[in-house]
Amino acid sequence: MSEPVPAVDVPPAGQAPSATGPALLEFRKVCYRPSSFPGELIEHLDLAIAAGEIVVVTGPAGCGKSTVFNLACGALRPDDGEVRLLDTEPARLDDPALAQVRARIGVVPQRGALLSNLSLRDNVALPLLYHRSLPVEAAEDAVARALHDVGIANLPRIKPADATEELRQLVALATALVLDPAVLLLDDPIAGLTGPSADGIWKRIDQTRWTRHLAVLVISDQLPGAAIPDARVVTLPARLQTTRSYDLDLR
Amino acid sequence: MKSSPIRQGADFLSYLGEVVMLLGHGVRRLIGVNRLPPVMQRVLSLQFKFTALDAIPFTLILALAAALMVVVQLELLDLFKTEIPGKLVVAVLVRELGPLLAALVVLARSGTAIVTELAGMRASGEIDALRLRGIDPYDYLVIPRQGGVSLALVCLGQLFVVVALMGVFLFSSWVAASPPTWGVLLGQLGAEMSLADLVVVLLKTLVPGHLIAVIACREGIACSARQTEIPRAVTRAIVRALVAVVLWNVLVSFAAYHLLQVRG
Repeated sequence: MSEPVPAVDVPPAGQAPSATGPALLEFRKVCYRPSSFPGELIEHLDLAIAAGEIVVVTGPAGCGKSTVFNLACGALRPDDGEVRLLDTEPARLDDPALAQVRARIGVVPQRGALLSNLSLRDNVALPLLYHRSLPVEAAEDAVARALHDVGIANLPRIKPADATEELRQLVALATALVLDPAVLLLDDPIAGLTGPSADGIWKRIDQTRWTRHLAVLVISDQLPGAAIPDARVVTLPARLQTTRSYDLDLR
Repeated sequence: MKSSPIRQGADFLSYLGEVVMLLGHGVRRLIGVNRLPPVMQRVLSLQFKFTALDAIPFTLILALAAALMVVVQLELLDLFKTEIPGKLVVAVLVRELGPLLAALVVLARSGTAIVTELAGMRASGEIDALRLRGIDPYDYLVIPRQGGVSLALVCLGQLFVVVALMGVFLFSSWVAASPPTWGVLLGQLGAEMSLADLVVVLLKTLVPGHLIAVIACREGIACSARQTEIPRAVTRAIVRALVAVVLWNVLVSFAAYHLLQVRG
């Protein structure tokens, strides 16, 4: 079982890290209309996140929360307006250029989406081994640092299917941190978790934002509450009367 | 609704173009295999182990069974007293059956495993997650499997031919009423086989290895993100890869036959 690491670099209680510099992720009057959806799902969304800031996008089911996540990482193109990520417009990039930008951000998709055929540790190391062409041994330090930042000292040699939901989410967070990103995008990182487990994940997200000075966008049904008192919350309006899903053509 | 023949033809050409493009991309990347990230080289070696080493017992059994079938037919037709055994063994076991059966072993074991694994990854969102992490799934997932499977099929094809030939020697002295001596049989095989046969075996294993891996990977990655689509993706991949391998073998046989005819 993994051992939590005591948080040593957190700011004193009540003192939030200050946001500095220009926005690393910005939505400018963004509209998005899925082909199978009547009307606009996202309507004139304005949002700017600088280093050290955290924004939580929330709202009822079907309101387009995950669409905001997909627009932010360039998986969807806005119909109007502009999404800017690290001084680029991901929607206008070709696939190799988009892959390069994505190697500079940390992404946690829904449910972590760890590779089921790799061990948890190999999942954390993979982005580093692939993007930097490193041998496994050379990645050990960065992997250990990413795991330490999410509070895991000893990671068991198991695959994602054998891990708890909480451990999977923490490992997915470490996977997103291993390349030292400037921006962190998380799609429902506390899905399926409640109580202390959910609070623990929120605190780890806040701690990594503080220690690594990240711009963080979180999509979530739940709010961080006291775990991240300075989080800005954006609530999307209800769009669908039913929970019917609609198709999105992701890049 | 059934699509028109023109639409079906266009879809087929588009699919063919995609497979050829993937093949070309894979071959280009594999030529510089030392430049692949170590993590991909590791997947390649694991794929080779699963496809080649783990399939050796199965391949040995098939090779010996094929040799026994040929020997039984030679005995039934009373051909052991003629010069035909050498010709027939080379034509059937070396040029045609050996490479094809080795490819079928790889298709049955590794082709199905690859398409099931990748379609499962697609259904669980792992392939989209790779893209979001800036990792090209066609690069990270396809190239090592393409390299491992093609190298493994070349090895298994050679192994099949060698073991089948040994089986012919063994079974002919056991099955035939008046078996030829091993020296006579060896002379017949030596007279019939040439360097061209090695090239034929190489072509009929190297290219099908690439075809099996690319088609299985493509069907897995392009599968709809639903668990219920996985069995359909497996069936589609196996049928398409089988047709591609058989057509390629026929093409190589025709080309080799034409060359032999030209040489007189």
